[in-house]
Amino acid sequence: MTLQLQSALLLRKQLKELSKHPVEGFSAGLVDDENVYEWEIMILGPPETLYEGGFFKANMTFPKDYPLMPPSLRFVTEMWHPNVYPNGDVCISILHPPGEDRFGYEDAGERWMPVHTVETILLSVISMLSSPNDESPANIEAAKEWRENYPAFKKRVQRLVRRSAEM
Amino acid sequence: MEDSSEHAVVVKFRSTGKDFNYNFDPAQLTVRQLKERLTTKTSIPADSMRLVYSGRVLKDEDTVELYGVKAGHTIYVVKIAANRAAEQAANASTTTTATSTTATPTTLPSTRGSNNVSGNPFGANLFGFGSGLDPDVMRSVMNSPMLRHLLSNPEIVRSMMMQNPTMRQMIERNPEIGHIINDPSFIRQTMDMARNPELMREMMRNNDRALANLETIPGGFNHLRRMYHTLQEPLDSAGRNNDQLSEIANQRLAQLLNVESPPEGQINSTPLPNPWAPRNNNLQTQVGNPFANIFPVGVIPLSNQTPFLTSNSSRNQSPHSSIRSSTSSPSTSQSTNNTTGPGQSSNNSPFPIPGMPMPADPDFIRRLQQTAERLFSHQYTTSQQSQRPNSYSTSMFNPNPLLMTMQSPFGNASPPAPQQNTDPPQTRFRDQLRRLEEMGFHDQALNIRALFAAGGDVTSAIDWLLQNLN
Repeated sequence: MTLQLQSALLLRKQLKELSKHPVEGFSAGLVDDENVYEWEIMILGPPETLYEGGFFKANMTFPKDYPLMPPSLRFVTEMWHPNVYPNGDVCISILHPPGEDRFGYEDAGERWMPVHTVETILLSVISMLSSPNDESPANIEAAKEWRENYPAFKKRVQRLVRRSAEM
Repeated sequence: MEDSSEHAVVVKFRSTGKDFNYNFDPAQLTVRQLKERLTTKTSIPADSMRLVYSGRVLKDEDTVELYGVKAGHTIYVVKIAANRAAEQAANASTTTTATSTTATPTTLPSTRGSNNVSGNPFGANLFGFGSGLDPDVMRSVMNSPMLRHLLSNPEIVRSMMMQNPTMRQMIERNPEIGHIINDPSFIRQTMDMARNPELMREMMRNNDRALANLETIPGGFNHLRRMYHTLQEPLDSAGRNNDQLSEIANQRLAQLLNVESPPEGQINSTPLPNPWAPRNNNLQTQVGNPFANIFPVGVIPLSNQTPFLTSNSSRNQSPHSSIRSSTSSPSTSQSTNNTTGPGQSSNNSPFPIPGMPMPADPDFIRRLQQTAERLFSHQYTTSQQSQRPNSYSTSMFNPNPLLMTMQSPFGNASPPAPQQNTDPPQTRFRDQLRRLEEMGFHDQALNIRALFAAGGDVTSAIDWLLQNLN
């Protein structure tokens, strides 16, 4: 009970903070005003990247024991990026549950820590858009194309960006 | 223009590069109407304007009220590119030419791969191509019709190469290279490689493998070394301008790091110097404060008042913002550096060496700095304290490992010894208490006990509180 209260309070506070002092690059709100655990995010494609000019909609779902456990982030807009699963789930290390990685890829410091906020997460996502990490790709096809056939990758992303702006 | 009805609210707008306020009644306006009003403010036509609020793109036909816009909130104004169609057409044509040229040479590695690797160990690298050049740029350059025409004539390429004096000298010394260059098919192949990054990468991989194989043969290492000296080194310097400045800079850096170039003809077996290692010899008077060069003396409040605990609410006044501003522009940091005098600063900062690149992108540095700042303030209140519950220290230059790595390129850092804190718990834990309060723990006495038990770490304190509440 107290724990739920804590996460809800924390999330409300972050939301209030973000609507008053927005951060460059994204805009955040609730899907349903009654449920503070479901957020709606609009990521504006970062300038001077392939994703520039795109409007990428994503849903962020927080667990009840936030901030001890990380939220999950899923793009609703179609996405083509090495670190985004074909179903839209975002794969970045800070969104992985805390503790050591059993594959030895990331150490605890790179993974989720309770000090992360919506803002730090989304800034990581925006930086991910500008520089994909193809070492542990979530979307193998996209990573392969990014590495081996960059023009095709670029073309595909530009098509997505165009489509996302025509809403 | 602006509404003056009683329901009107002031809403902030953020457009690229500028913010402004606009006063209107959300119930009265549709998004479309709002856009039309904003065109005068932003000079973006309503058709290519998008409004983003609360994670949503506002739709033209809805009223603004529907999105729950409230006073003081911010709406993003984004311009979308209008001439998409033209752009698209241009892109399509360039990509088709690219694919058509990449299609032709792909058969090459299989047919002549084997003899090429042995005959031309420096294949892909011969003209210095592929080193430090963006393959995309390279390709577009190589695809320009004029250059293609030029390079399709081996004669021209050869004369171009012979014009470089270092190259000519080398060819005179090593007639076998002259043969390679005289072979038109070789030149054509190299051009193909430069055009096609896939092929180039493949060739480089083959090269690496060939060299590695060579190295395992007895005596192979010596052979490789000879090859390097006779071919690769002169080739590299032929590709570069003989830049006296960089030579001098290199020498000064070597001097600074106390390294000597190895005697001619011997293998350099000394370990690479660590540029960030503390240098004891002439530095003992200065405690290597990483910020010493950045701040004019006296800006840093080194009192027992923790800047962090008090300044979270007023972060703008924290000393970090000045760090950020000074590192964000290379010129300021350099100028503050210089005020300490060239002799002094060259001891503990790599900046003043002429010709030495500054950590290049100021924007990148600023972003690093911001992340560091954020992490720093967070880590400070959590992990730092849990590590040292008793000597919960107040000096802002705590040996925070993250910040140290961030800052170390700007000077060599050894933190001053942490000071013992004697403040009462209310002051000491003020920030944590406030956070606990915000999370719904209102019993201050209990909170203090929890923080003591957790050594100041909020998360652990919450755990403690929850356990003791149930």
